[in-house]
Amino acid sequence: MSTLLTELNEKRYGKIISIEGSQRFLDRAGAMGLTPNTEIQMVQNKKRQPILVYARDTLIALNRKESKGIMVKGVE
Amino acid sequence: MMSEIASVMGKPAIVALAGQPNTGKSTVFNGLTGARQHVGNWPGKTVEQKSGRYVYLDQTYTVMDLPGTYSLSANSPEEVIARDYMVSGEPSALVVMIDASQLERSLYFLSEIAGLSIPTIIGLNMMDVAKEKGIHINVKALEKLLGVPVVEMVASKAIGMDTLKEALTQVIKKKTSVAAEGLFEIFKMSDRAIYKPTLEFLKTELAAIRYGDYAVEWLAVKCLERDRLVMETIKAQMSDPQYKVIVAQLEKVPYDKMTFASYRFKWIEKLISKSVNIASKEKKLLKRSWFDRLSTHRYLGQPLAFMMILLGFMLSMVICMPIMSVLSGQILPKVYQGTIQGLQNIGAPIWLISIMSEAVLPAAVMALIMILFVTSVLLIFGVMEDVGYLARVAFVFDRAMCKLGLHGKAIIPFMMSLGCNMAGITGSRVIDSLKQRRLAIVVSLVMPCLAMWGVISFVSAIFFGAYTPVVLLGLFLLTIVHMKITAKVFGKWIIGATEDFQGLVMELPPFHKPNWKSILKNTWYNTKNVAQKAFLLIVGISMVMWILSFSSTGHIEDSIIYSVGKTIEPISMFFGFDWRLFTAFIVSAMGKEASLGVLAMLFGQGGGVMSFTGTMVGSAVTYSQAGFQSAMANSVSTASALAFVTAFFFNVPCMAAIATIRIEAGSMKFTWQAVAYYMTVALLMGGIVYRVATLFL
Ligand SMILES: Nc1nc2c(ncn2[C@@H]2O[C@H](COP(=O)(O)OP(=O)(O)OP(=O)(O)O)[C@@H](O)[C@H]2O)c(=O)[nH]1
Repeated sequence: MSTLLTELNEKRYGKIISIEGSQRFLDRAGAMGLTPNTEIQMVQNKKRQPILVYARDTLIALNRKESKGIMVKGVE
Repeated sequence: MMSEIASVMGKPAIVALAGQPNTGKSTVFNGLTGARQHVGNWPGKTVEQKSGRYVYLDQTYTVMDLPGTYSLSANSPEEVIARDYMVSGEPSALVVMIDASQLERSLYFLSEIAGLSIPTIIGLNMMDVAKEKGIHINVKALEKLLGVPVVEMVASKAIGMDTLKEALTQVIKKKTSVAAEGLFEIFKMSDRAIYKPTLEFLKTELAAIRYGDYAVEWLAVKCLERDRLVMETIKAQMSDPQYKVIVAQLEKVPYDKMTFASYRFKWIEKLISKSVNIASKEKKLLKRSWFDRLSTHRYLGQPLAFMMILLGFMLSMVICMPIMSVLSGQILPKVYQGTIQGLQNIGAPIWLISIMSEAVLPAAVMALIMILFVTSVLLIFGVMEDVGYLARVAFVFDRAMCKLGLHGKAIIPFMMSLGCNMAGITGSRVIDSLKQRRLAIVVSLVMPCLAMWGVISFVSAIFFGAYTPVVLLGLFLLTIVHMKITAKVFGKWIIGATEDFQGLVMELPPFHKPNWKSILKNTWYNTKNVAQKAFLLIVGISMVMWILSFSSTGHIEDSIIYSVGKTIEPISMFFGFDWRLFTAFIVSAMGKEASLGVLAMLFGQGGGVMSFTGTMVGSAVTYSQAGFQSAMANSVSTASALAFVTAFFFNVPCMAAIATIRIEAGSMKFTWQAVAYYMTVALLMGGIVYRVATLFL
């Protein structure tokens, strides 16, 4: 069951399945450690705000619009 | 003594420091070089270049601090600089800073360097944080896997510095670079070796390309990733048909940046699995302090940011105000009097006395005050940056900034501008893309600085008395409209920054205690960088203004600016400005503090100086408050006054800001575009206000 990253609830874990977006976004996301198969934790996910995820020991803020290009699978 | 290493290398030893942001690069740089530093710009770029020296065992080493970047993908000037320098063959060795507490992510940078032929050392920093987190790193194993020395460090406590120096000496002799075979193997063999034929094809085809010093596999992988710089280089060095063959080959295989990034992480994960022990493998929720949560809070984050910044400004005022008031209130008038006396005593001509005492001196003092101001604003923001707070501010304002076509970080120059526009322009450096940076600079000019609020309330009070708050509120609302329009105009048409727009993808570093030494050092260097150039420009512009407004009789009617103003008057009247208001508007582009003196002179109430620039001297212009007020009130209609206040408010902030735009945006053309735009828009807005006001008043 895969969902948009933006639909992952706070404090839940997920595994990235795919990432799409502009070349710049992909470069940047990749360098920050957001790649397919990366485990992430949703830290903050509030409407009208960027989201906060924790991945590879790093707290990362992501623009909401661009996060919609990230598909994840919920992990327990 | 002629050093052994220098003679072996045939050139002085240059050490380049590279790594991702927040890995402690600056701390190591400062630790190595101490006070022997030089700050300039990279050739042809507006990116700061820091270099320094240290001596170890009688050998002098030059250290080049490369810009901190997450990757080397050539998306920003910083990435291009770091990369070009590392392949240039100039540095004798490279230190790659790795954050031991964020190993996976910070090793990504290393994966992009693996394959370069440059002798390399790994500075494994933040060992204290890693230990706390229960991460145990087997350094010997890591060294073996990577084939280069790995030095454990706690840079903030100067631990590991000597080992680093020693390792550098060794590595320059032995010329060991990062073992990259494992990485290339992953690129070749992953996904059922789909990229293997292409990589092997590229390896032979690209053998003759000269780009720098690296293993040809490195170039092949970069080509596979369709790295912009590498593709351009290949294209330039090959015949068209040859290049087409390469492109055709690349098009045979799937192209997905994410696949390649995950190959790099595969390599990293392999390294880590063989060298790192993590105390507890179970997943833990990230723990955040209450302040951390508050700082990114949906509703409270923004008010908190404003409060923190206000607090910072207040603090800096407490420190700066006494110095400023002594400078401008006591020292300047004395020096001013002294210069006049001195020059008169030696019988100097009156114009010389005037230009010295009214243009050069006051401009120099004004520059000093501005610099003091900038320093304090940079210091406040330096502290907030260092402890990790600024990233949170960018986070909570991201949505608002997006509406302007900018990303969250642009809030930082805007907020700094509320203190001082010059500092705001300097603060735009936090934005990586040059186009986005220019857009942030140009929009930040709309922000009224502290000095502006002071002057505008004073001028408004003269014209509007009790209605002043209403006028100020109106100006505040216009500010928001102005920002939106300016962001559109420049973003879309002049800079074309919209194509560079990229949503926020930003690390929020963990909060930590401020490192005062590095904060003070950075503030000092940033200030110095702007100060020197700005100083000359400010004095220069003042002299031009002096020539325009000088009159030996002290009557404004005898100056050049009077004839110009009179000639333009028929046109300026259309906007509601007589020649005096128009002239005051033009002069206010020079600086806002002097505007009161200028107005007094224009309305025949000010005496004591021979030029507008003379008004920069604190109490040099003598005028009676009551006479001034009645003169203005009698000869300026309310509609004209409203128009003037509007145009004045939205004019270019000051000459110091203009000088800083030139320095930070790196383009004279852009600077003039911005200045011309602001003056035109200010006049137009004034004109509109005038026309509307005459309908009602
Ligand atoms: N706990 C700990 N903190 C450190 C260590 N080294 C540096 N720091 C702190 O980490 C912060 C970031 O260090 P910098 O030297 O500014 O990092 P940088 O890589 O230059 O970062 P940019 O200036 O953003 O490129 C500073 O507050 C340092 O005091 C360390 O070994 N341990």
